[in-house]
Formats: sequence, C-alpha cells, structure tokens
Amino acid sequence: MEPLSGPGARPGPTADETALDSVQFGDDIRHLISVPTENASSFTALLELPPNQAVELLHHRSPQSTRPDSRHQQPPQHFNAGLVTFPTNAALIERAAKFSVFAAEEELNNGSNAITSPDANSAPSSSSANLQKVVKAEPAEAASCPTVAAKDENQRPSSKRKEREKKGKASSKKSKSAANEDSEQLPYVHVRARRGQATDSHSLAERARREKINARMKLLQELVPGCNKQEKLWGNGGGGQWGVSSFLHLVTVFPLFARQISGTALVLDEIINHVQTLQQQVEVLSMKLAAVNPRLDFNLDNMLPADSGSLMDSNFPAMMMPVMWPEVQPNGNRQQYHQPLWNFDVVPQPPAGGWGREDGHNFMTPENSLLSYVSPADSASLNSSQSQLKMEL
Amino acid sequence: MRPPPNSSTFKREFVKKWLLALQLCNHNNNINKNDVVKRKDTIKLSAEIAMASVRNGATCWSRALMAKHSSSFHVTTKPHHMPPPPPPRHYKKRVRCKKIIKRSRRCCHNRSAAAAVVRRKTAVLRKLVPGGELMDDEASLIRETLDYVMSLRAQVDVMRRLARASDCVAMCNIV
Repeated sequence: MEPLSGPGARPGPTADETALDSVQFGDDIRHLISVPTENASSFTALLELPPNQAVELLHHRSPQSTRPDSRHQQPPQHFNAGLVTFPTNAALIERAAKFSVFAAEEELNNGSNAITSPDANSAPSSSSANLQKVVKAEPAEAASCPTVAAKDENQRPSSKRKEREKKGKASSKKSKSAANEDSEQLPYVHVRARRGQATDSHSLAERARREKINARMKLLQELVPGCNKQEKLWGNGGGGQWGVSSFLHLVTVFPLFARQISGTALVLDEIINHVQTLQQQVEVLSMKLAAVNPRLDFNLDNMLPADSGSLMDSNFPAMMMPVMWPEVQPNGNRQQYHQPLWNFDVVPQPPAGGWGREDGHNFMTPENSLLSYVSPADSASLNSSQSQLKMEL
Repeated sequence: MRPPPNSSTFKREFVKKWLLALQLCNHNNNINKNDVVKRKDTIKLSAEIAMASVRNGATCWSRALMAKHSSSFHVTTKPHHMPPPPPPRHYKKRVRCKKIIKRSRRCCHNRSAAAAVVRRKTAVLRKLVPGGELMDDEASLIRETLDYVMSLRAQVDVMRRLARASDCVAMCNIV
C-alpha cells in the first residue's frame, strides 16, 4: 500500500485520523470486495480468468482518507508505484484517455489503466466534450469525483473481466471498455445529493452506479460509429438487473458483439436471433438425418449375436467414433475405426428378408447400421470402452 | 451453476446419450419408418433429451427440457445427480417489488419506452429458452441462455457432422 505521498506529506496528528478512517473504511471495502468475488468465481471460469488474479486486483486498492478537503488538494492515490501526481490539464487527460484505449490491452495485468483513471477522476468539471462523457457522473455531483466505493468494488470484477475478454479480441473498440473503467478506479468518493433527491445512501449509490453505467455506455456509443441513435434504448432498460457482467458473457458467445456493443435492446435482439437460428438449424439437420435412407441394410437381429445386448451398449462410443472420427475420437484408435466405416461395401449383404423386419428395428438410420456393423468387427477392442461406458451410464 | 464444459467433451457425452435416447425412443414407439416427419421429430426429441441430460440438471433449461419431454415417453433412465430445482424464492415479494418499480418508472416517460422494449424482448427470449419463464431474474436468464446456446451449438455441430458422414457413406455405397 502506498503511503500518502501527495503534495505535502501529512503531519503526525492528522495521520492518526486518516489511519482511523482508513481502518474503518478498509473493513467496509473488504466486506464489499468479498461479495463480488463470489460472483466472479463462476464467471472467471467461463472467461478463463484465474480468480486469484481478479481477487488480487480487487484487493489492490488501498482505502483512502475520507476527508473531503484533502481530496481537492491531493490527487487520488493508486496502487501502482510511481503514479504520484497527475496533471489536471484537460488536453493531457484527453490524450491519456485515448492512450488508454489502445494501450489498455497490454497493460491490463499491471492494472495500469489506473494511469487513465486518476486523470479522468482528478479532472474538475471538464470542459472537453469527450471527457465530459467519461466523467459525466462527476460533474453531476457538485464538482467532485463521485464514484462510490461500494460500486467501485462491485464494478471491479466486471470491469476486469471485461478487460480480459476484450484483451482476446483484436479490435480497439473492445479496449474502449478499459477507458470506461477509469471513472471507477477510485476506491471511494463522495457522492453529494442533488437538490430534491433522496440522501439515502442506497439511492445515492444506486444513482452513482446508474450514472456510471450511462457514462460508460455513452462513451462506447461515441466510439462506435452510428451508434448514437441507440442511445435512447439504453436508459434504464431492464434497470439494474442487467448487470454489466452479463453483457460481458454475451461478448464471448456472440461474435457480433465483438464489433458492436450497443443498447440492451439490440443485444437482446441479437441473442434472440441467434437462438432462433440455432433452433432452426437443429430442425433442418434432424429432418436431413431423418430423410437419410437406411441404405445399409443390416438388421440388428441379423447381425448381432445373441449376447450382443451388452456389447451394443459398449459400442455406443465406439460406433459413433467412426462417424465422428475427424474430431471426437482419441488419436490412438483412429486407424482401427477407419476400417469399419469403409468396409461397408465389402461385407456381404444380408438376405432380403432382413428388409422386411426393418420396421421396428432399423429405425435408427446410419447410427444403427454403424452400430450393428462395428460390433462383430471390433468387439475385441471395445471391451475396454465397454466397461468404461457402463460405469458412466 | 457449474461452468459450461469443454466443447469436445460435451460433444462426446452428447453423442453417447443421443444414441441411448434414440434407442429408447425406438423401443417405446414403433414408428413407421416411412413417415419422415415423425422420424425427424423423434430424432430431434432424442437429441434434445441427450443435450439436456449431458448437463445433468445443473442448469435450469436442462431441467425444464427433461421435464417437458418426460411426459412424451417413459424415460427409465433419469439423470442421476439432478439437484432439485431452485424454489421460487420469494416469488410474491418479487412480484410486488416489480409492481412498485413499474409504478415508479411510469413517471419518466422516456425511460419507460426503452424499458418496455427491453421487457418485450426479454419476454421473447424467455419463450425461446426452455424454462425461461421460470426465471425471474434477468441475469440468470442470460446465464441460462448462454449455456443453452453453447449446448445448441455443440448439438448442431454433431448433427451436421453426422449428416455429412452419412452422406459420405451413402456416396461410397453408390460408388
């Protein structure tokens, strides 16, 4: 944890107060940190993010003094050594923000997006249009950086996950999310109630969180061309239930989102489209499979010996393997299984009587035929898989 | 909810269970071989059951699928480690909360328009995903959808390869 090294080191007596505050605050933060990490555990598995990394990043923050006046005088401290003071020059901040968009991917693990965050955060009500969106939450509150610590912690796992996902993709558009995190890098902030609004801590936090999300989305839309019309669809569509983390998962699964992230409604649209497409494909493929003629006129009764019942069970993985040999099968057995598949024409056909009995038994078209075929040929080699399969089933 | 499995292991499991399910279907209903539609239905049904059983009841959609299809034919083999479905947690309370939220949202017209759009689409998604109506929480709905989509993809992949393989075999037989 970096000692406070801002302009003017703290003298002795005040250090005690800050220590006291920081202790209390540290407990709060730790409590809040524990909640998102629980959520993070399942998501990180999905995203192949080692959980300890996420946790480490979460814990990286150090609690800050809660003194209101101190914040104006000293820039927010960050966990990265060497980042002491940051210029409040608007142009520089803008440049830094843009830099973060492109550099965030490499510096992800270092948490050096903190570089951008203090810039954005320390800016007073910024006049530049770009930054205004980023720090939109901030000028909304009375001239101070208004991200709430609680929401910071909650957003941390989602933001880190977002970064990691987008790290995998080559587009800079994805990394823009890193720029969005700059507004939440502060461990805590003061949130001042606006006139006529509730001062309840929950609603304040909620409002700050909403504004942060809106700011982030507005920034996104700014960066993605043609997205401005979708602005209206964001709003509070779905409210707080549509967590950012959910969208992150969508990014991995739906490739379209890699290029264009906008609007809850569009996201939903895309998902619905995708699900419908997949279901239609299943329909078409099953129709195709059903239409395949059982040209392979092996009858189960004919081909299989009497004790084939157990053998049949064992053949399930084996006989599908010839069909699936391109990808599913372990390499060792490949050669073996090639032969049965292609020996179909070689095997003499059963008598025509076999056709007559097809009704009840040859319903399963290629599967059954393969099934019946492989069993006499490779029964010896399948014994091992047989026991394995029986255990599984 | 456990994380979605590796795609290839999923496919392997799916294939195994699909064959099993097909056999069961076959034994249970002696379907006329010439009726392509019925065959297709059976194939699809068995594939769905297999897909759901691979997940072993770990996800809501798989449980819903199994429940839906268990009536259509008697399944003797049930998924072994199926955890009980989550109870409708404070369902009434949630409904009340939703009403309050809706009322409070009515005041802001712009927002409610967007929210209405989102709600409509969420409803559509709920209908598409099996078991979607059972989930009040949109986050869990999204999670289920993701899992379902990945399973669907694997299923489509397997079926496609199978169709292609059977085409190859058919062509070889012709030649």
